[in-house]
Amino acid sequence: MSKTHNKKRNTALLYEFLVKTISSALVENDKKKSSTALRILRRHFKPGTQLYKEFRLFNALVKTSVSSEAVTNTIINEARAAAQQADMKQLDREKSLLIRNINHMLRDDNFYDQPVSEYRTFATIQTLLNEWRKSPGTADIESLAKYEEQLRSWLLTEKKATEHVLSDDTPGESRLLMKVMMKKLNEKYSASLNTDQKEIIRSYAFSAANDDLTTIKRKLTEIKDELLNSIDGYVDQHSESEYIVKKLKEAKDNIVLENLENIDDSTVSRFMLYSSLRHELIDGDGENK
Amino acid sequence: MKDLRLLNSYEVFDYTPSMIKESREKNEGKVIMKGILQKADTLNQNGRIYPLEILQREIRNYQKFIAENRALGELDHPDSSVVNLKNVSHVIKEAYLDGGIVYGTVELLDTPSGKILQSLVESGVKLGISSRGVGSTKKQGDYHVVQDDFQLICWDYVSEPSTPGAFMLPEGKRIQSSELQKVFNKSDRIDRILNDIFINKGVK
Repeated sequence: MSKTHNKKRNTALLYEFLVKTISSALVENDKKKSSTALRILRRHFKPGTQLYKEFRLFNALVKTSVSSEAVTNTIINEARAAAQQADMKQLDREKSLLIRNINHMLRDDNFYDQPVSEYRTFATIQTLLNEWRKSPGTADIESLAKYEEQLRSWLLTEKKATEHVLSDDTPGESRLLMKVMMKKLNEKYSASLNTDQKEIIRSYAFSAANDDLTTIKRKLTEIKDELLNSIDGYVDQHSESEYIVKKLKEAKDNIVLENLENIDDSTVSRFMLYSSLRHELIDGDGENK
Repeated sequence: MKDLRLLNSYEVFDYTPSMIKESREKNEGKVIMKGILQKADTLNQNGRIYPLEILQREIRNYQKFIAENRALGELDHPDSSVVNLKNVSHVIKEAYLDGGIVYGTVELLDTPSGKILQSLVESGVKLGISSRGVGSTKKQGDYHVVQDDFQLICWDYVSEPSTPGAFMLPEGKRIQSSELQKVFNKSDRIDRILNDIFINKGVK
C-alpha cells in the first residue's frame, strides 16, 4: 500500500477498530471500556459530521458489487465528486479530535494494531479519497491510476453480504450493540451452537440493546415449554433406562420452576444448556441407545 | 474444528499377591482392588496436567458408566477411543475424587485379558493404570494442560514404564469427533448435559 497511507487517519479503519474494541470488551465483560468506545463512536460518527459523510462514502464503495466495468467507472466518478465536496479542514479537525479521544479515553496500546480483514481495501479507498481531494495538478497520477484499478477490481468482486460491520444504518446505540455482539458471538461460537442457541443470543442481544425483555422472554418460554414436552416424550419411550429417566425427572422439576420475570446472564446460560438438552433429546441422529 | 487427540495418563497401581489372595477370600473368588486411578493438577509421566475441575466433571459423568456396569477397561492401551470388548480385562465399580486424587475400586474379570491381568497381579508384576480420554491440550511452559473439551473414556491397565517419561508422547492419535459418537451413546450425551445443568443450578 502507499507509503503515505496512515491507518490512524483512515476513517473506516478507525470505525472498525472502535467496533472491534466494543465487541471484545463486551465479550470480556469490560463494561467501562465498551461504553467508552461506544460513546466515542456515537459522538464522532453522528450524522451531519464530515466523518460520518466519509464513512458513508467508504461504506458505499466497500459494500457495492457490480458486474459491469462500465458501471465501475460511473461509481468511481460519483465517489470522486462526493469526496471533493467534503470540507477537508473540518474533516481533518474531526479526525484529529477522534484520534485524540481514542488515545486519551481508551488508553489501549493495541488499538491501532487490531486485525481488519479488509485492511488493504480500506487503505486503497482512503488513499484514493485523499488523492481525489488534492488540488488539480498535484495528485500522483501513476498512483491514482493504480488505486483506481484496484478499486475497480474490488467493485467487480462478489461480496459476502453478512460479513461487514460497516453498515449504512445510522450507527445508533441499540442496533450497533446488537450487530457487534452478534458478529463477535457468531465468529466465536457459530460452529458449536445449535439454531435455538443462536436465536437465544440474538434475542438476548436484541432485548439488551432495546432495554426490553419481551423478545428474550418469549424465546425462553418457548424453549422451556418445548423442553418439558421433549423430556416427557423421551421418558415415555425410554422408561427402562432408569438412571437417565430419574435424572431427567429431577431436571424437569427444576425447569418447571424457572422464573422468567428476571432474566440475566445466568438465566441465559442455563437456557443455552436447556437448548442443548432439548436438541439431544429430539435429535434422531446418533440414536445408538 | 478442535484438534482432538487420544490422551492417556499413568499411575502406578500398587498391589501385592497377598492382597489379591485376601480379596478372593473376601469376595467369593473375585479379585477386587482399590487404588489410585489418577491425580489432578499434577504433572504426569506424559508431560500433561489434568486440571481438577475437568477431572471432577469427568468423574461425575463417569458415574453413569459405573451405575450401568459398563465402566470397562482393557489390558494395555489400544490405539482407539472405542473400548474393544474382546480385550476387556476389568470393570470399574467405584470412582471418586478426594483431595485432587481419583480413587477407584476395580474388579478383574474372568475374560481372557482379565485372566492374564489376574495372573500378572498374582505373580507380583508391577502394573500401572492409565486413563484413556479424548481432548485437546494447551502448552504452558514445559508441559501440556488438558483442556475443557476432554472426555474420559475409561481406565486401562498398562505395564509400568521402566524409566520415567517412557510414556511421554508429544501428541496422541488424532480423533474425529464422529468417532466419539461410538464411545458415548445418546443417553450418555444427555447425562453429560444434565450434569452440566445440575452444576449450573447448584444441585448436588
